Amino acid sequence: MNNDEYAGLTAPTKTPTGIEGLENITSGGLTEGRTTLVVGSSGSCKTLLAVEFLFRGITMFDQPAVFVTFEERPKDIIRNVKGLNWHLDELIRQDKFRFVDASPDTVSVEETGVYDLSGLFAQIKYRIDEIGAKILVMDSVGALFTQFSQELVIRRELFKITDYLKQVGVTAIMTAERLEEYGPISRIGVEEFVSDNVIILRNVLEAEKCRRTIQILKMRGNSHFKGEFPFTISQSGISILPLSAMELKQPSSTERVSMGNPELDKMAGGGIFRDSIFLVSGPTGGGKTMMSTTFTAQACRSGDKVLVLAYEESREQLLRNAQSWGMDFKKWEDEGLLRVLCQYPEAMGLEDHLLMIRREIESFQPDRLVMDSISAMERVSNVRNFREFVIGLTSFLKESRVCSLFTSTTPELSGGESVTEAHISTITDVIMLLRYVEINGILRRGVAVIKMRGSQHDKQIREFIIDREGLHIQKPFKNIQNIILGIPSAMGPSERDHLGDMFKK
Amino acid sequence: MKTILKLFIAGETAPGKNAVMNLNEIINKTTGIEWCLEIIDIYKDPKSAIDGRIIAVPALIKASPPPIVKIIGDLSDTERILSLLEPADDV
Repeated sequence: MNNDEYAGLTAPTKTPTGIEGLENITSGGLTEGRTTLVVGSSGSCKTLLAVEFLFRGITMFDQPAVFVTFEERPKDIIRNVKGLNWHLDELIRQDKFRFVDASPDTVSVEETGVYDLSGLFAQIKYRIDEIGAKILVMDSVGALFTQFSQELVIRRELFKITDYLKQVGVTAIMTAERLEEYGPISRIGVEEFVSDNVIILRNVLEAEKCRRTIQILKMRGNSHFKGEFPFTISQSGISILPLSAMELKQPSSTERVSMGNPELDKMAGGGIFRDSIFLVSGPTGGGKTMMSTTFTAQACRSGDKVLVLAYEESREQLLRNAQSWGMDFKKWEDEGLLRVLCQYPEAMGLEDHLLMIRREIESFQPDRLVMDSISAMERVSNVRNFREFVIGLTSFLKESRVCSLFTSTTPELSGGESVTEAHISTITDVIMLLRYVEINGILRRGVAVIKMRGSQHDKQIREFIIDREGLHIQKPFKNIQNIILGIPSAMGPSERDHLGDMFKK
Repeated sequence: MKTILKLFIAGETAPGKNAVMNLNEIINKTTGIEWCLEIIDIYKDPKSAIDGRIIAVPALIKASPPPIVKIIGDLSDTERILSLLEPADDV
């Protein structure tokens, strides 16, 4: 016996796919030289994922590719991705891409006696050799079972092909249908011979919105992330949002930025850190938009670029309001310091919102971001999706080192906790509460910093007023309790005493 | 009119050999049809498999006269093969 037979074996390596986010959740891509099974129900974007894998492989990593189609005609595949600006015909001309057309025959085929699929094998082999292909797709093998009646033969041939691909070191994707989103892996049981790597795509209707997810069921080589990750499809193809895969490894900053008001900065111990996520929570009309407008103006004045995402006001309203406080948003926009995006939360799903925000940040490269309000997003999703959105957004902001202000509207005028707060408060670095304070029949506004990560802050609740010049922080409320936690009530021996020293220094 | 047949096989395999044998038998048995047979080994000429859209082998294509007929398998059911290959009666 030769014991050296197993010597020199190394762990399988990964082939990057170039699909946004896939490397994150697979720890580097698909297992090199192996076939990965991609299963999903009809309309779960199996073919798109497969085509993108090949397209990115060719254009980003210079790996010639072969597409074996059992279902759609090559012409249709080329046309379907033209809209994404993927010109497969161009790649064919450059000898970097080839089809093996095994789509159903136009003439009727009679079966008599014994046969095998050597024709398919020979075609694949020929095309791989012709362009020196490194990656390959078979889409979708279920259609092969409708073309030929002898299942045993098909299975044996598919095994032969995947084995051949392994020998010649071609990394491949094989797609297969499944009938239920949560059930047997595939309809035709192909997983038995490509059992090393299995990816599941799902398309589930949730809260009247389509939610697409990807799950890495198995992946040989090294670790991968478990669970389902939402993904979305846009002009740039598939984008997987690797929410929980993101790590909190950002370096922290000690540089502070102003919130636009010296008194406010003082409350936060001298401004907020440049890498903070800053949450302003308050009832409707409580001064949140004022707070965020002030924050935006300060940033622009100091030369920081700001991206403003408004979900509750139109662009005109926003510019007009800022103008009335003497802040010329239009001018800053023209100077390239400010970008204001107004959108209805209902315009798209949360995954698409998240993707859009990421794209905007990547292209505009802002130093700060204002989102007014993040609680508006609650309307368009369920709690779980919202939580994923918040985590995905905040970790991306941290990664890009964007100092961000989120506003959150509390459901009741007197305060109280919203879903947003429950999900976002642990992720944020600074939390500021705005509350109405009723004193002797008059509504006044109070502000308090209740959390300031990594710094001391003012523990007092201060009054603030909004006038033509903007925001002014006043003295702390004294002898009033329960401002933040409930209905404020006066304390002290008598009404007169309390009024007398309420604003005493 | 000639009946043009193309038989695609993949190397020296049993189904391929059987197909050639069975087809020869069919050709020899029939009278009144002028056969023109070409046997193609797709391992030697893979391009022909692509042009002929050959996935399964052995595969027999009747290219002419129309309609085009495609039969896969080792052609063991000679009666059936013959009925598929014989020119359709003009009505």
